Amino acid sequence: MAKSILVVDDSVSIRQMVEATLKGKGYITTTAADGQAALDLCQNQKFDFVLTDQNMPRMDGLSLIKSLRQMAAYRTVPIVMLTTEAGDDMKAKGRAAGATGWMVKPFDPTKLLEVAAKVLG
Amino acid sequence: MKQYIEDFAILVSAVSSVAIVLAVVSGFPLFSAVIALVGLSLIVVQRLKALQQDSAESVNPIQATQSDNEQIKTSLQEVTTALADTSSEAVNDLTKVISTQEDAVDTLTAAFGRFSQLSHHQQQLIEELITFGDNHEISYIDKIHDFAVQTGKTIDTFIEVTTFTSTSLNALTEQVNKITAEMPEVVKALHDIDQIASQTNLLALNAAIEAARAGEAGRGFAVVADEVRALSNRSSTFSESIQRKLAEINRQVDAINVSVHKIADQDFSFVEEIKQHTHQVLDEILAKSEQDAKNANSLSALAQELEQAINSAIRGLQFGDINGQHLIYIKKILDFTCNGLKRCHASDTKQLLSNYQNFVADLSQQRQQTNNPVSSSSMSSGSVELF
Repeated sequence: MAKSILVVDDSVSIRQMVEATLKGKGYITTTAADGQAALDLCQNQKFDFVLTDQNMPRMDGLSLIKSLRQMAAYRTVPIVMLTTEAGDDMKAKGRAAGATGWMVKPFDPTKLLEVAAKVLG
Repeated sequence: MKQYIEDFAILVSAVSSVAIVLAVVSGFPLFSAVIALVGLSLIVVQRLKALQQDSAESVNPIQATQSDNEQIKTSLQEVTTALADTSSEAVNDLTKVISTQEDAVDTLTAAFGRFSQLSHHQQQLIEELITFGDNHEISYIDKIHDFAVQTGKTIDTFIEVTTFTSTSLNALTEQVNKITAEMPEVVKALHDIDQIASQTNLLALNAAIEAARAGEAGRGFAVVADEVRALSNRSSTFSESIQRKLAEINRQVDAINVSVHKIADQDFSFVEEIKQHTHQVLDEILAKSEQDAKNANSLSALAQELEQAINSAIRGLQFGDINGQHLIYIKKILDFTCNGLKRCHASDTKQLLSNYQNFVADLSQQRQQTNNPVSSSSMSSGSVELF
């Protein structure tokens, strides 16, 4: 059965590019424009993998991860950051919040697919 | 006065540095506007320094200081207004740049997304075209190749069987001819048997007559004579039966003979023509399937190249998001600078100086608190780390 992936980014173009990349390999994708919208979606649906940006309006990526990790259904779901932020301090915050991995933009579609395949087992 | 000018020089220098950094980072038309602003600021500083020198050399230092003080204040107000206005225009320009860039990148992304979608669809169609089976696991090209090879073998076997049949028919014709030739001999032998039976019958009749003449003594012989006659009659009956059967067999053999001759008389050279033609067509099919296999490989390689090109385009298009964040960061700093400069206005000189000092301090604090969220300086793929 095809795996479901939630793509969270305030940039329309990034959402489109990530979707096109993942859909091309048969993944089912859903998008959200910020952390709060993503959190609302996750309340009603269980995704197999969450890919999120950091800097977004209303709720940023780190806050989203912290909120999701408090939900029983998302305690072990892989959550990878896809952001322009590359500082070690930010990565450390991500790791502490419960992120599974950290990808720095610009992403390479092949590498994104490798990460998706790896975290989805 | 000297301290005042030096403070202003430091302020202009700080603002100029910020402006230059912003101009260099943004790399947009803003650059020329900021450079012009920096030039204007430097000219004002030079004028102030010249005034400072003039005041130092003045005969009446007190009068010169008061007059210059007003002039400097006016100049500072003018520079501040010019900086604020230019920053404001730059912010407006940046807003337009961000908006048009977003539009352009969204359009390009949608186009490349569609391109990628169509490319995948095209690959699927090609796959469906050259394969079959539930999971597209069987190649049509291989299947056609196998079919051509198998058909060639079947045709060869058919030709061999046909040639053997033709040869066998000739032998069969000869054997049938031999059987036909033997028939008259058999019929003649049966006629001889008939003749023997007839003579035996006559002999038995004479024996019966002689037995009757002998009276009681010939009674036993009469029984034997009757039996011999009966055997003679049965021989004649069998002979007639065999002759009828033979006549029937003869007709059947004649019929076989006619059929065999009809088949044997067929021209089997067409089989050789079929063989040559079929092998020619099969060779063409094999050549085509080999060419198709090469083309399928080329299509597969092209599809991979196309995917790589699309991947590169997707990576490159992310400049929209990355530079967008750069621009928003620059706009934020410019906004802060613009608003700070507007707040510097004051009629009182001391207040003016205090406002400038506060502005420089606020700007420094703002720069420490606000970090540019973008780390990339190229469009090569960013790092990937799994915790």
